[in-house]
Amino acid sequence: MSRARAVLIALLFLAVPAAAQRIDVPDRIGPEPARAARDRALGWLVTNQHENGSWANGALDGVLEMGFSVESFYCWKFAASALATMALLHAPETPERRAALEHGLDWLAGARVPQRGSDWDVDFLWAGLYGFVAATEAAADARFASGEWPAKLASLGKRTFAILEANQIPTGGWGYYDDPIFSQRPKWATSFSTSVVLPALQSGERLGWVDDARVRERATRFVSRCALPNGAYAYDLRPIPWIAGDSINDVKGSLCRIQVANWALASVGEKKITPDRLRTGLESLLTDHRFLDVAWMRPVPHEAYYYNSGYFYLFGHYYASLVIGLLPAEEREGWHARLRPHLLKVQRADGSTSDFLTSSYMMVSGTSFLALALELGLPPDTVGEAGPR
Amino acid sequence: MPVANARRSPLLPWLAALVLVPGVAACSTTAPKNEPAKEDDEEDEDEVDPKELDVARMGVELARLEAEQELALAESKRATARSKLEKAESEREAFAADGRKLERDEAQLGLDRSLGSAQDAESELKELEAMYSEEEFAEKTKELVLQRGKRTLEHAKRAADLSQRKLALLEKYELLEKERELEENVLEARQTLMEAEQELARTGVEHKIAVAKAEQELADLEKKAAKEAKKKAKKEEKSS
Repeated sequence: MSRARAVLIALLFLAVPAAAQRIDVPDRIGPEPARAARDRALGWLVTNQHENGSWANGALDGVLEMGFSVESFYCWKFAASALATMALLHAPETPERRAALEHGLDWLAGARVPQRGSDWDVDFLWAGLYGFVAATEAAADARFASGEWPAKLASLGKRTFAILEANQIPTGGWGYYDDPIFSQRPKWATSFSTSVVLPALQSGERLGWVDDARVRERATRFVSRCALPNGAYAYDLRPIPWIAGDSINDVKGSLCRIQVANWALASVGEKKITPDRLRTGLESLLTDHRFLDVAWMRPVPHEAYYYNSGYFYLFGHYYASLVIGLLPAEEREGWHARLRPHLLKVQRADGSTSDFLTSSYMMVSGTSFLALALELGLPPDTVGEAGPR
Repeated sequence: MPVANARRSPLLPWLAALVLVPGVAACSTTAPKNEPAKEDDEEDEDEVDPKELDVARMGVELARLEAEQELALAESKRATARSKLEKAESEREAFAADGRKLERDEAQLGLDRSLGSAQDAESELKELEAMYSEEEFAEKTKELVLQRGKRTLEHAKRAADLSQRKLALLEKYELLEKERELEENVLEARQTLMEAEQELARTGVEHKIAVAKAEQELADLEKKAAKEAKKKAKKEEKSS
């Protein structure tokens, strides 16, 4: 075999996992392969950080997203950068990761505040949501409790909270589109985007960034109202929910929303979210996982059965990992072991991943979700790595 | 027989001209216009030109061909008319058996649906108002949403009223009108069939006449030619 031919075959072999899920993963995977996968994901994030500390391009990366407002690409860059800092924040510290984390937080704290993109496109809410979550999480970290950091993080937190406060819909949630009659305060919200920020709002109140607890209370009520009797969470809050046929509000269309909403409500003290309810939600995710597998990387939103979209996948697995953290310590590894294969099978050879498009913000957010989800299931690193978890 | 003459092929005079004109032209070269005619020539004028006979034979053939074609056409028209009558009768029967009820039930379903939509819009608005009344927050946005909900409800109520009126109109006039229209279609189709049958019969007779006439013309010419041939033979016998 010629050298060139051998190189070509090797390249093709390497290209396979970049293009498709690996289906030859075991049912359960222990912590060690997950640790290596997390490190590869974090390595990719460190390597792909821009010189100014941000991640992603902030501009249209492909024709499939041409319909969005120009501002939305900046908003997604902002939100993806917030997620990347969260991934680095929760990872065991190394000098490179610490430097990337500080650089990333610095960029977020100084970056222009995202604006509403158009009458209908209010994707700047994603920047508000994850910018605020990242700020509260960083503020809770002892490494950022002194020097210039508290002021920087408070600035980031307050500016992003201002977006949330001004755009909370009348029933209490946050979404990313508005519908006619277009109004300054949007009118449509989803259960999952609202859930993302509930615990952070509580943190924001403790930090003194949020002086009106009613923002969280009505957001909590919003998510709570989205809960359906079948165990699913409605995509959005409607006086009469859509529950017929292959509705997205079936459990099979709600596998990822169940995780984020259960985690959010349980985290802010909603008593109805019992450990059994958390377990039932996790079991649904793992049992009906094929509905997410088939949606993975489909470029058309809600194209798969039960209106699943590719971009539910990594988001949902991150929050599933957070849900596992709410269960008794002795049962967590069993759940993580079952969750890990679904994370490892979608990771590319270079450590990155995406579940929808390969736009830069999707790569950054997908890789961040992967690193976060894996990290949450790992016992503390013992050799060569120190720092807070 | 003026009808028969009128129905003869327009090609016939042309056909005759085509055959006869070269002969006429040939005569004009042998007998100049102002020269007195000779006795033999006068006798020749009474003779039957063989080309004239040919034209008469072709005339018979043409008359038969035309008869065949026009009879086939008339038969085809009759078959079409019969089929249309069957269709019209079938449509009338289907409407009487099922169509009338189907249209009425469909309109009733439309009405039920729009009544349901109006009820949904009303429930949704009440639910929204209940949710909004829990807290004084985002009042302007709430007002926009409620305004939209109220308009949706008003439109839904109007749509239900419209469906109700449409159903009444359907029962009172439109179904009767449709029944009458289908009955008229049957009568019209019957009349068309009757006309087609009459046309077929008339065409048959007309073409029998046309063929007979052409055959008669040919027979006359043949008889005349035979008589002259006989006369000529006698004359030749005398002179010899």
